[in-house]
Amino acid sequence: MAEFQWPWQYNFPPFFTIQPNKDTQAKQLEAWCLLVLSYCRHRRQYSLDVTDAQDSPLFHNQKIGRKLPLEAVYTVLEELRKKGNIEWTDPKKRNRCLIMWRTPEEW
Amino acid sequence: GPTGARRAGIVGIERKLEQKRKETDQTISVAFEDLSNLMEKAKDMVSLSKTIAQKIQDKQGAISEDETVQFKSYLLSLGIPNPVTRETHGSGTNYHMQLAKELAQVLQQPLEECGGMMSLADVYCRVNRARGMELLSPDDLLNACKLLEALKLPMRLREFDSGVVVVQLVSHSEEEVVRETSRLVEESGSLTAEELSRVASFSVMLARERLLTTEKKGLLCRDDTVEGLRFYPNLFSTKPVME
Repeated sequence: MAEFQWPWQYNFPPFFTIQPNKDTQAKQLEAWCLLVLSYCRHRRQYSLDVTDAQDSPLFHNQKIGRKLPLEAVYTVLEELRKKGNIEWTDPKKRNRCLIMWRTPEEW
Repeated sequence: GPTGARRAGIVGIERKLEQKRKETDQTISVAFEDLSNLMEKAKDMVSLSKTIAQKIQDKQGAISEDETVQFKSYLLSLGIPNPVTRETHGSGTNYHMQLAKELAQVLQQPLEECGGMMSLADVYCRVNRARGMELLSPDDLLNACKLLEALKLPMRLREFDSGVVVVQLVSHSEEEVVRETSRLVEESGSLTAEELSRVASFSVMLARERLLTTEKKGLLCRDDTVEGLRFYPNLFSTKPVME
């Protein structure tokens, strides 16, 4: 399997802090959503366990020593859910979700 | 004789001490009595001034501006500022207006020297340290500064979202701050408030406000970690999402 191509944001420390400026945050979340989808597509992964994902390279860049806080992981995942790209297996617990690289409509 | 010896002995000393203590007690109780008399008088003044405030409210508009101003200086000398009923009848006091003018003169140069902006606490220190006597109370300073704008003096009181209050020169524009701050951050790659204060010699508090203002304008973004709050140029807005 080819090496995953990380986007430039992945090595930019502010990527790992949810930005308070709304415009900036919108761009940041857009980048996160794209990253999560392309990462899962690359690994042919259809489901995601929140706790495991937080420790995986996806949300944890060891090279620059930054990790997306759990709260922020949920912010990103909720954003994806709104777009129709994920679905919680248990919406109450929100500990595991199914990932659709394409939205059901696109299929 | 034996009586003289006793007076000079321990009992004598004790008796003397006792007498001294009684005298002190008397002085203190006299002082307290005077004080309560004085307070009694002031109480009359307070109730009187409240009656007058009530009257002003009743006859809104009927009383000339001059009379309200005079009334305010009475209240001020009594130490019973009464903003609720006063604010509606003339804004501030003569004393504060004069004080504002003096502040504008004293602060012009220091403000220019420190980049056009100074926290109110710094202003308070500077002004009072220079005075030595007849110091300003924090309230006086704040009230005087609130009048700066109305008097068209070359500086303004300004409150940041964080609640930090500063005095800044009118000539000192927000755009300038934002441009200058983002330039400094770009030069160093990234900066914390402490680092910016060192680079540009602002106080740490003002450096922080500058960074936050610039972030709000969308030119900076933050990296919040246990090591501290660090600001970077906002690449999210300048670089495309995919590259």
